Amino acid sequence: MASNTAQKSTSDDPVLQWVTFRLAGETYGVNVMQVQEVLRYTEIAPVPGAPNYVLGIINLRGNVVTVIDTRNRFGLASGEITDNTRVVIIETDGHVIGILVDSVAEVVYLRQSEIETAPNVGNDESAKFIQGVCHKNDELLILIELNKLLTDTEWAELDEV
Amino acid sequence: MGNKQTEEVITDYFSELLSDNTDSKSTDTIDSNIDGTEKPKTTAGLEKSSPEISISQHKIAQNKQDALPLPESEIKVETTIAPKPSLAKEVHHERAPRPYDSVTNTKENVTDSHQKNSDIISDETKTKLVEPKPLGAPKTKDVKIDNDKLPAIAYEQHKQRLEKMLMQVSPAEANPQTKITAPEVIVPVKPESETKSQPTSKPLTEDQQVEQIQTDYQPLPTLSSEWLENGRPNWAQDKFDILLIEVNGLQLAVPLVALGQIQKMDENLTPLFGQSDWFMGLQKSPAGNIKTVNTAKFVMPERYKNEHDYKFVVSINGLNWGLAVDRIHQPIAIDPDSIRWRVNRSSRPWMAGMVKDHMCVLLDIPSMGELLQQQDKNH
Repeated sequence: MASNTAQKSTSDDPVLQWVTFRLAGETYGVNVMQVQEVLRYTEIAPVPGAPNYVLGIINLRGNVVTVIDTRNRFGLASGEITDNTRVVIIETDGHVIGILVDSVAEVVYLRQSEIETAPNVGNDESAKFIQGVCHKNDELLILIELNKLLTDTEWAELDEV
Repeated sequence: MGNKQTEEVITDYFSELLSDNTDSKSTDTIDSNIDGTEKPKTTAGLEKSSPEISISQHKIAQNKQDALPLPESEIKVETTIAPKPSLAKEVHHERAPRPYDSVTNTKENVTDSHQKNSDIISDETKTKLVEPKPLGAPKTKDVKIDNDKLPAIAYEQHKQRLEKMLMQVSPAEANPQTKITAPEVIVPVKPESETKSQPTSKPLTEDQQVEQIQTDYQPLPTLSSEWLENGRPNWAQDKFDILLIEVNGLQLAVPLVALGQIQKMDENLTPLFGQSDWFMGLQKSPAGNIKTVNTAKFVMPERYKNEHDYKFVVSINGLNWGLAVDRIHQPIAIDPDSIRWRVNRSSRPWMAGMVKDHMCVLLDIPSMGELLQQQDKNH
């Protein structure tokens, strides 16, 4: 049904689905096609010597998945773990990782034309993660480009974790 | 007949009359009407009297609120039905004597008989009798005034009063020739190229309205930030208006011609991570997202210490950038000669000069807008 909705859009202005989640009071969105599953918070095993943005690893049906501290990655203040905290398992460039978020909201449908370019006036590299912004339901969604979440060097470091 | 006999006859007559008319519920009370509703004590037994009852008694008896404020000289007592003994004294000595079938009723006799019962009615009741009731008050449910039975004089007076009131209420109707014409509304005709076809059958949703406003919004062209050889910017060659703003306790001046819109600071301002510390976030506006600048941090980072809440966002004309400010004052017209223009603008290119009369910095808003655009890597 959802794929039919996406196919209804014209090729010039495709409708994309975004999984939205809350982080530090703001709503972010990631492409639904890159989201594998959403897990409840489980105990994360820390890995010594791992980069500061790595929380640790979890066991997902026999597979070891590295969990990223999204707040740290985005340069946000650290937060507390609550009952709504989730681990979103994403796949990008053949890599599977988990990102820790405050809560997962809903899947929204956005047209390409509705997405606006976000400013980048800082020297912080984290600004490059923002693909764009979009107004939906009286709030501004910040759309994350997962492909830019980690550099090739950083992916290589994670593989060694 | 002697006076005593006369009094007895009168009393008997009234008693007989009252025993026929009064209700079992309130026969002996002077507060109730014959039909049981409340009425003034003065004329309780008179409401069902003959048509010869004067208007004053009739109205006072039946309806407190309907009684007309007749002058006391007009009050007459002409009924053939005798009032209650307790109400007999309500027939004030000011009334004319009532005619009786078998008794010659003189004013004096009536007065005597009433005075006999004067101790029954309190002074308050007499006061009520004297004081007329206001005209136009709502009627009670059980009371009806039969105009056919009212004396002609009282009716005429009633009519005159009504006409007088009507004249006061509708002065506009007195001059039917006065016409109110709506002011002409001049609707600017847009060229066809600028108009967009819209379905008129269905109302637009809020999102559609916002989208329409955003698409219809056409900002004015950006002011040039060029400075001329006379040492003044292009926008300050002649007399121009400035707006005094307050930012974190510091007063600044901005050229009014370089500003766009002023709106209240949105509580839901959306911050973006990875930006400079003077970037506050995106504020939603009809013209789109306004990139909001913490003005104090941008112009004087060395003095900016405490975080505080701004109240307004002043957008730069032609750009989707806005400056957060605390207060905005009325615009002031100034002469370019009253400004000490900067000569060397290599550092702080957003500072145009100093307003001598107000001893505050004049911001070069067009140059500031260019600077912000350059800093945006995604621009």
